[in-house]
Amino acid sequence: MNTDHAFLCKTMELASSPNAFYFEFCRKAMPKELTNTQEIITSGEKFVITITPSQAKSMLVMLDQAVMKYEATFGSLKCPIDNVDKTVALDKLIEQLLDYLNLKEDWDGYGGMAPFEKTVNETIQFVKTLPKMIPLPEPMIASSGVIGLYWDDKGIYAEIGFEGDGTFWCYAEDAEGHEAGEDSIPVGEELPPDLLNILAHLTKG
Amino acid sequence: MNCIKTANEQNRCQALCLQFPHCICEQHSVSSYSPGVVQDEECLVRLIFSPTHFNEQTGKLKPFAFFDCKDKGLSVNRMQYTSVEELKQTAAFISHGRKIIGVVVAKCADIRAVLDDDERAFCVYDTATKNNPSHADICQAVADTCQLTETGKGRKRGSQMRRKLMKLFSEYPLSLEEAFSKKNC
Repeated sequence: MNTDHAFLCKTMELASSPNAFYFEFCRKAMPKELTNTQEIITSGEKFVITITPSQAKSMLVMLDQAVMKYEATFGSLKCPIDNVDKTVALDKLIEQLLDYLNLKEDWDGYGGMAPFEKTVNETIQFVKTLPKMIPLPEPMIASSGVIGLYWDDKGIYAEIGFEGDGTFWCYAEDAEGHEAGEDSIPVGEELPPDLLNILAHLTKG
Repeated sequence: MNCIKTANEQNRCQALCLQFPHCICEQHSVSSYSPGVVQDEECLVRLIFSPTHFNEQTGKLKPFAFFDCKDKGLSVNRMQYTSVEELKQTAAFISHGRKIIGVVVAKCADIRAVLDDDERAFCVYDTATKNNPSHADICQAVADTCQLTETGKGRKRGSQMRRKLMKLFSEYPLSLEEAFSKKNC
């Protein structure tokens, strides 16, 4: 494994697992000092290491050494802020979606239901695979347990809905009134190109 | 024709759309507690709670604040038959730990004027209850509400219609006092 392109993106406590720390490296390599000692999960171009608090101190020392070594040769090792912010925001979004499972029966005073776990999981699967250029959406829930994600910014509106049936639907409109969307797309498949084109405007200017 | 019975079903909008399409039941009162069918000129108020209906960061409504019109009915209150105090009591009763943010208001005629091609997209029924006589429901009457036999069909169209409905209500919630101090909606 090439150690020259490690890119430390994030160090944080895991919201979903408070006793573990989380290190994330962008790009396709990481310091070799870490590769033999810890469990490594690959996710796209990222490496994620989860360690326990007892391991954290020695891990941080190792990380410092690895970063110093890297920087001595290749210069400053800084993460793009966008990546750090987006990863933290993704964790927060997933936490909000998981929180929906804690809704009590009749949570809205009109017989509101909590979502099925399957609905939450399919929504999480979707947000994890959103193209990186697209900002993260906001979550929302209906009384029937349907979960939605939406964007409403810069004249762009888009929503995605999940009913826990293995599919999602989507709808978007831009400031000029152009519309896009589909009735049913299997979870795991990409958003339609015309809807992605509308969402791409959210990243401009 | 038994609009009252159908309007009392759990998913009343779907039941009404399938059994009594084209908003036929708007012509009849669907509740014995109702002051009468909802008139076009009436103002309808929707209670808004955080975090379920409201994005604290943007100060704007979440679109799913209007999703109930697809199935069980979007609960609103008829402004001329209620008061600030009554709505505060209703809000406290249904809040279940959520924070009351305020209300959004729309005119019944505007809601009834939304079309999906040539069909009425929304109906408004006087679904009063004993403890909430000013209660009414907005029901979607097209798209995914009325296509139960084909899973997933019409969902995009449903979103499009509910987006139109959302735009009829004020973008930002008003306090109850503000909403009731205005003469029009």
